[in-house]
Amino acid sequence: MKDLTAQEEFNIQGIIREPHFSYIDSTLTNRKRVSYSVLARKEGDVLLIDSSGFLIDSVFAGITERHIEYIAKNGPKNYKENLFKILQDKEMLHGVSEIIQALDKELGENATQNRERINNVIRYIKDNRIVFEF
Amino acid sequence: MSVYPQQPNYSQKAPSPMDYDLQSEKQRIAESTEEIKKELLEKWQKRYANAQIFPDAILPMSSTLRDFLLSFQNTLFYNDLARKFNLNQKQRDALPQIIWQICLNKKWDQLGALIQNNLSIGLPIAEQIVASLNQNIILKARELSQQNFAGQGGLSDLKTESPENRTAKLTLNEALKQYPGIGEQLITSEHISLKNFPEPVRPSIKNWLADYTFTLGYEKHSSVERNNYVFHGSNSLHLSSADRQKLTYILSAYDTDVSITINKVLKQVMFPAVSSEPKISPVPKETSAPPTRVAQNMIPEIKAQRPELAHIQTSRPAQEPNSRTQPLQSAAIHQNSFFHNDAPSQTASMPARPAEVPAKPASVNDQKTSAANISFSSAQKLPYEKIYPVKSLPQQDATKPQPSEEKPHSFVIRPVFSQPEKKLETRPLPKNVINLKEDK
Repeated sequence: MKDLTAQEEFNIQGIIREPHFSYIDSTLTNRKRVSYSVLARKEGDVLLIDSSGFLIDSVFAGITERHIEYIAKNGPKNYKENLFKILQDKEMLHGVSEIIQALDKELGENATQNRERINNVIRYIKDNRIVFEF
Repeated sequence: MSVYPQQPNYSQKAPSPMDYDLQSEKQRIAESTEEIKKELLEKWQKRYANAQIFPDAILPMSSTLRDFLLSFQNTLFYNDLARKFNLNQKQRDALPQIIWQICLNKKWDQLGALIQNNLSIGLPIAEQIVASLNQNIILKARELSQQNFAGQGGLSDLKTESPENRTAKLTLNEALKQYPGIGEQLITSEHISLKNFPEPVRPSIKNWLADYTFTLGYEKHSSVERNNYVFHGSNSLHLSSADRQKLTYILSAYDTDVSITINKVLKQVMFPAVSSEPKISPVPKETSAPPTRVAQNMIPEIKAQRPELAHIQTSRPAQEPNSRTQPLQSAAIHQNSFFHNDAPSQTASMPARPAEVPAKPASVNDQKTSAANISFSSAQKLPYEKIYPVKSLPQQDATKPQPSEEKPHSFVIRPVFSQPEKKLETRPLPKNVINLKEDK
């Protein structure tokens, strides 16, 4: 392990498995940071996030179309259940909306690509609810 | 003078800010992160090795079809369709549910009715939507649903791996140890009841073995005991013959430790081909000729009466009816009928088995025989032949059931995918058929 200290290793593991616990104060900046970290992941790596993470707005806001397709095809029951649950959580969805608005704002005044991405993800889950509902 | 212990000289050992190489530090962290990811992935895979990925309802579906339906492209396609036909959100949301329903139940011909009912739209628009869905999703879905041979893990896996590398010969116990996922493979269709489990459980290999060992004990069992379980066990009592064959295969592999073939890519037991059609047992030479032979014997006679049938090939195909090839043939016919929606559906005129097309006809078509023109009065008929009243075959009503108050009439035995019915109306009946209508 490339001379990592135990602390460093622990931190890296935490970021991979529980990115949503990487901030204490849930400022928009912190939540955005988590969304970015999820957004940048490969499809396979997104499953390394603990299933509880998919109930959190900052994680959900980072999910891409490719991620959700991968989860639908390979994700265990609890992952999918949580993804379906968050769609019923108005508070979390509001949080998602806030984050993607902020992400879009960074891209430009009229940018909507993050909103479109999340809309697509939500639409995909609803279209394939048969796979997400157990 | 106080003497202080010698302090380490930090200023000399600590690297100076100039020595700190940010790039190499980043590299180190990135490499470590990759290693940690690998470790976590291994742990994750162990943890979720036996996890349920899909709800029970869609487990029987082939994985290629499932993956196809789960393609993100479909969501975009539904969006486009909604835009194109001005569907509201509710109507658009109904589309994927209809598609899933059709693919799950394999009721391919119900798309039109479901679209019209669920979307509450006019027939012309419904037809256009149906055509579009057929072209982009249903057609492919039908193909994939019929590809059971490749169905269990994605075509990509099968393409990349050579057949030799894909399979392994292992005993069931070894296979279960080596590929724990095999225990979750479903072998029958109905849920089974296990002792000490309040609810029925999935009919997986693991659960069947649990029931088997609970019922008969952990020791090895003879084939008699095994068959007794397979035919008279509480869970196996109502199994279909195909399911029963699979169960027998697994239990005998379990008892005898015979090597079975495992697909390493799909992590599944590969069952020997199981025929779902009733097998045609070979007829001994001493016995009288089977119906097909009777029919053949009559062909020259009929030809003599009807010169227009002279071109008919009278010899039977060299190969015996092979039930293993039949599904493919029927599949091809299914697709053909699917392409020709405008023509009256021949399957619709068969009340007994409306959704299925008899398997044999593909080979009949291949031979270009006009068997539709051959009439028999014999009550015997080939499995793929149906009886139709001669009188009740007007061209426009061919698909509708005929009124029962018709007078007694002669029958024509014809393959279901025969030539147009008008030939049946005009042609004279053979001599061995008594036309009671004319006699009156």
